[in-house]
Amino acid sequence: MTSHHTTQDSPVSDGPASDGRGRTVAALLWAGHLRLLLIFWAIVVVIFVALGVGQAAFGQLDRSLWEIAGLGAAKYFPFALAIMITPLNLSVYVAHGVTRREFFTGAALFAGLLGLVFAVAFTLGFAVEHLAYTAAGLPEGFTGPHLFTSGGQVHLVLVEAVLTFTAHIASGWLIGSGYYRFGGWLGTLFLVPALVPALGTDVLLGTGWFRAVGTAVGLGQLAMPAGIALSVLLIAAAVAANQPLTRSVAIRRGPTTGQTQWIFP
Amino acid sequence: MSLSVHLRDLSLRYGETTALDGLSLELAGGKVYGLLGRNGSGKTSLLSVLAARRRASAGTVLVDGEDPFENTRIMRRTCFIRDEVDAYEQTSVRQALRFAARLRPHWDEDYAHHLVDTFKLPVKKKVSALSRGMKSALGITLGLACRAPLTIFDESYLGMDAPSRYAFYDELLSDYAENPRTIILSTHLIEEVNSLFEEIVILDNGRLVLHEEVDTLRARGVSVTGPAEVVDRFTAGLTVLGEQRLGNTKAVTVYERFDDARRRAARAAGLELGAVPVQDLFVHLTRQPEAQR
Repeated sequence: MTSHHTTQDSPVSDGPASDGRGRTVAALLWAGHLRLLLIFWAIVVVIFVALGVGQAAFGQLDRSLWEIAGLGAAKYFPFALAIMITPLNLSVYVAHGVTRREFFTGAALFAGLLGLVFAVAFTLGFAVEHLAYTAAGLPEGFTGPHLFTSGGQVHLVLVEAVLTFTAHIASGWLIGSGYYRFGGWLGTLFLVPALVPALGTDVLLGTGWFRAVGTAVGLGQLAMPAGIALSVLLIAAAVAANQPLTRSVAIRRGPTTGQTQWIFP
Repeated sequence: MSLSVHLRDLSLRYGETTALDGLSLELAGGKVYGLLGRNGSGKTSLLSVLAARRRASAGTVLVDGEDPFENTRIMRRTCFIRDEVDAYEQTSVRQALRFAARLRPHWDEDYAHHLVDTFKLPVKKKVSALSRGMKSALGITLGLACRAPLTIFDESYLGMDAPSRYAFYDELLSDYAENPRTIILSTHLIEEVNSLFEEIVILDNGRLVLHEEVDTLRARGVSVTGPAEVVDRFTAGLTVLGEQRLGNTKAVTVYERFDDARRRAARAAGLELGAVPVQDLFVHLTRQPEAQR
């Protein structure tokens, strides 16, 4: 501890929830995850560069590598982090005098920030790759369907990235809250509705692997503005659903982190 | 800066299990309370309701006149330290203290430093790497330094050695004297801790057995020693906890309030009167069928 600040030296606020408590929770959640995120993105960049060097040295560089390294796997990392938001954090915050409502606000801010940071990183990666491929005269060659046809379409890349990442984060958060609220068996059943935001956004935007399922069951492709608007509504509903799930939940007994009692107490 | 507690017909159920059963209790602010009870008596359940970890199934719970559940004002002024430390296992002790400092409005950083030194907490070590006793010491540091107007310790000393426990008791008393607040201590180490208490609350099977000032409780337990036939005659009709005999000398422990007249009568009969440990009284009170209480 470097500071010797004594909070009693200054007037103490015990006031209502509107004094930025949610922002404090979000800041603490962000600080708690930052090192992990930096390590993750360092690994992604290393893989991206290694793939590029390998492909350039031993094959033909005729497809987007960032599509694989940046989006293909990367969306499952914030998804996994989001699963742990409620089970690993709620009890610690309540133990430190934070209400479930304040925690929800902070977690929602954190989830939004997490999605935005991943989306911006993803977009930047595509922009860099686009510049590099254009300079080298290489085709970007996307394998999956996207809202964009070139990494240089920054606005479309960003929209798809924001919606894809936040949808996966919303689903992950909902899964974790479901297990915390309902326990192992009902929580597992709750996976079905909880996955709707992540998979539904693929269908609504016509992107990602689950789009094929939508096509197979006869769902037609929506116009882009409608798909975007419905995806936003779906994600917002999923985020909001965490509030009724946790607003009166009992704080489970047991060690708070790195344990599984929250699933099968 | 201390919070009162008012409970009326409080019940808490987990499925088929009734943890608290129509509990009514009044705790004035600014005192140190001892919460005693056998395993499964409902102590932790009661404390969990006060700390808003659980919502009561029925009845009224008021802390400082308000329902504590999801109550911003009450929750940030209440601190509940369990037998497991509420900190991230993968953070260091230093980070755990910083985390508390960000969220606790009454946090005293200098006092936290003092407690770290007192308990010799390794601030760079991860919480997961701490011994059982050190985790408890961290919990106690978090509980004392947050200076919450309602501070609750539930078996928070588990794994701590005797010198560390006594250091905790000393810190608790001295800090309470400087910063009065409502403190509830749940414990099984009754003889070791009861000198800290101003009042004692005993639960059994989720119900209130007793709530008294500790001096009053102590005065109820009396040992009567003397010639066996005189002791038997004198204690006839009284609630006898136990007895020992050596030759013609008999020592009987009774649970009864002895007024001055009865004490004089005992002495006049050649009997010696002595005090009974609080723990013995607790054992008696939680062992007897309710009809005899």
